[in-house]
Amino acid sequence: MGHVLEIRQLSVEFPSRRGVLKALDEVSFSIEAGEVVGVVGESGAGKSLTGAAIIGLLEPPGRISGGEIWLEGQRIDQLPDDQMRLLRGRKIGAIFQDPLTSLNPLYTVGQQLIETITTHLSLSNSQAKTRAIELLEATGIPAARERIDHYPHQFSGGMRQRVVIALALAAEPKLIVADEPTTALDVSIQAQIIELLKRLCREHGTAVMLITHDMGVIAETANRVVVMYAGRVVEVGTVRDVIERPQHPYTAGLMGSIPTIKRVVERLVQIDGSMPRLNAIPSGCAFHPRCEHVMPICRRERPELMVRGASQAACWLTAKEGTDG
Amino acid sequence: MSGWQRFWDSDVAWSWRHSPVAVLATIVLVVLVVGSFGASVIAPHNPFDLATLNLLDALKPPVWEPDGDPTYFLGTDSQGRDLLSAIMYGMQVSLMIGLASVFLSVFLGVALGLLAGYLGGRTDAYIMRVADVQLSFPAILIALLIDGVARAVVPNDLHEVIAFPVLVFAISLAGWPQYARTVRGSTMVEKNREYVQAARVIGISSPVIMFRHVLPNVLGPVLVLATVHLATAIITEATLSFLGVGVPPTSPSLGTLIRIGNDFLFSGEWWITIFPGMALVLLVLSVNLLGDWMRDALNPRLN
Amino acid sequence: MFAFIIRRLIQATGVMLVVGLIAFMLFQYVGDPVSIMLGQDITDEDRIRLTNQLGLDQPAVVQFYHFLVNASQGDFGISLRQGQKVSTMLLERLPATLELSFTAAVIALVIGIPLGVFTALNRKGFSANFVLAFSLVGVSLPTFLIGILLILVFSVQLGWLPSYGRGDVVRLGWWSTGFLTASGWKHLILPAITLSLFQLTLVLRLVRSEMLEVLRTDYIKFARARGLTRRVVHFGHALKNTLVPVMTITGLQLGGIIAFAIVTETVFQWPGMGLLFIQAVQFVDIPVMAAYLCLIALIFVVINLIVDLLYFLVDPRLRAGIGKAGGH
Repeated sequence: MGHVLEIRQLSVEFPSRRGVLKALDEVSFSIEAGEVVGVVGESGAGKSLTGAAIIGLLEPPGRISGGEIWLEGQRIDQLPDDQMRLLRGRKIGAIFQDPLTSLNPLYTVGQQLIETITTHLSLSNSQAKTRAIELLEATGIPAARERIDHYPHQFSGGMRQRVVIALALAAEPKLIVADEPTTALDVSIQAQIIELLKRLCREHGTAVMLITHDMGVIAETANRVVVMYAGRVVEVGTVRDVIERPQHPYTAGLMGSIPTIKRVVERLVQIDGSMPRLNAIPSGCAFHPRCEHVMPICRRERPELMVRGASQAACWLTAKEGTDG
Repeated sequence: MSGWQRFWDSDVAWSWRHSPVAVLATIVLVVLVVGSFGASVIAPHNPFDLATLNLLDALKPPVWEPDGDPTYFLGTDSQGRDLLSAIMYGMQVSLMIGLASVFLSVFLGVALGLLAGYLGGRTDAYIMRVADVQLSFPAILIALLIDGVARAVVPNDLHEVIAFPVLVFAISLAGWPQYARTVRGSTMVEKNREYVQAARVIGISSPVIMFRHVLPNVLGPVLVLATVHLATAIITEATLSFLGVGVPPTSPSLGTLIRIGNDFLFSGEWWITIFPGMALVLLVLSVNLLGDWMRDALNPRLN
Repeated sequence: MFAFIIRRLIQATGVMLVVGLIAFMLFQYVGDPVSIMLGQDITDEDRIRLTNQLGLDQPAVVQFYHFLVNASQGDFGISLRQGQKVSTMLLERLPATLELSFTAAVIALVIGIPLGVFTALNRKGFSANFVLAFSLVGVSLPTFLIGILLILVFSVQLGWLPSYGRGDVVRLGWWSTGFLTASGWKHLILPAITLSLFQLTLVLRLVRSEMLEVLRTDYIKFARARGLTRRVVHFGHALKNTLVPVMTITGLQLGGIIAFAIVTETVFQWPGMGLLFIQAVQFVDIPVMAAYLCLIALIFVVINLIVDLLYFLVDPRLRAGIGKAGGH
């Protein structure tokens, strides 16, 4: 169908002392070219793991135990590492959370940019340097020509993240996996970085998988959103639909717990209990112990993603009400 | 809330059970410890009882060699002393000094570290400065110096009496900084935790706070350090004894035995030095293996 | 940058002063200073005259000052055992120890660092684990035992290499070197290997653990995510970042080699300062002990300074940190 990225029933497990832990359980979603898809959920829901699995940088002993990952019509989850490496940076870029630790402190920003550029594009060093300066300017770093010879510690947090973005976009990948790109930054800087990311991806037609626990960022930036819980996808839909008409009880709880100026709310919604640990995932629907609409079937059988309204939700309530078009 | 319960985590026991190296090392260590501390009961001969020594049996090779004698399993030295028994007694001395040094070092280091971390300010600065400077000097040099000075200051007839305490003191003095550093770091971290401040508000006294909460957190790393340090201490004592400035000749350690045997290397009686050497290596190796396992098992990050 | 150097120099001087104080106290309170200076057989008159001459009836601080003045010129008096000037004795033996230590250090680094990198990058490999096991044994072997074993195998059994002394040396000015003769090299091999083994295993394990730490960092993860080749990630990034902290610790360790030389020189009867020191301790030869102590302290302090400077040169965070402010 021409997705840039398609994940089908992806499962990731971790063998451990206490048996095998299933960290991702049949996760499925897709991303179109130029689209920004937000992947949202609590810490430990499996968002970052999904990103790591896509880039092929799952930390051992974690491993993909089932499902498929397709990038531009090519299956990549079973590729050996040296072939995967050719895709990294060139087809898929990545941005991580902490800009301070993402850059090697012993090399200048320019050196790191040039080495990335020359790895993927056949340019001479001076050509690469020109391109590096262009990239820095595009990400809004002033005096790029001088600052290219500076070390990471000579940049502020926001500036560093711009450098990271420049590095990720250096070879013009089709997809960027951005794992909590603004969480470590000051609130005032966050907006700038998000704006930058949006603009650059729009200009280059890059698709973005934006992983975050911050719904506000998703609301600002994403076209569609994937809600994850305990290693599973519980809801998929456009940002508008999911925020205004959440179909899954968990999503509804998430939305209700966000304070907003627009509505007058007596009390912020609080979902009782907490997300289960990997070695204690409930049977059937993983959310059922905390759900106020729980039914007997929820405890027995795990719901698949079903169409409900304009979105898809993994909830038995959908089946009960039947498909509403 | 107390960290003591957290320390006895079943993960550690599980890890031990499933690591063949750790189990083997522990078994070897237990055998060596029992063999050495039970020497007076288990050893086939008493190498110190001059009456039982027979010069005709001197320089006998181990039992599997052509001239070997089954009564002297590993052979004898130039005085007719049974090597196996000498090794058992010798290991007792080596272990005792090693353990004593480590205990003293841990005590000193942990106490100073707690003080430095908790009191901060100038106390901290002084203690850490001394620790830093001392850390840059190798243990053996410090031990040699103290031993040499003691030797000079104390009159000859008292040399034997003070030899042990001086040796233990010298080796432990070289070791305390590493514990102090670690403990100080942890103390400073814990000191600022809320539950410590809460406890203070309630009125629990500082030493109690430190003991109940800081100490358990620090126990893991200290234990790992201590195990490795035990190996170092045993080697240091063996080296000093080999050089002739360690234990007095009347209670020889493994190092002393090796030194005595060294003189016979060229005349072909290799066993007098090699077997004590092997015993030493076995001891230190098992301690090191255990320490390595412990470091991995107690490392919170690897879980 | 200057402030840094000045601070370190002041620290270094402080340490030397403390060491000097300890050496001074050795002279004053351990044994009789007068007999230390002149030997045992002197008359009462000489004693009184010397006491005045040496200023031994003056306050301790003044004596300390004199001691420092003498010490900084290398004058530590006369050895109780040999009757020679301590400084002469030490200088005569300095080259032997330095050459031995230097060779051992080179061996330890040239073999230890690559092996450390190898075991860090090949965690599952059989040969890597074999090297690790060997390194554990290496840490468990005391230096003197290694020496004895090597002598047993290569001198006694095989008869290939000598086990005693330094062989033929060539004099270059006041320095005597064993590097220029075949016999010198033959005598150097076993002691150098013995001395290097312990340090080698330490370096190996240090490099390995540092590199494993570095390989876990975010910037390595990001480098991989950018599609950089394995070689660039491992050697361009990981190795460089590993060597920076390793350098400091190794520098300090190398100071330890000079101290450990004491044991090696004893086993191989190598005519260096370490052997001299041991004989001095056994004989309670205070001047030699004190002089050796000060010399060793000086060497340590110098090594520390050099290592600090190197660190400064290599890590850009230290260099620029004091100068420019972070840009916005």
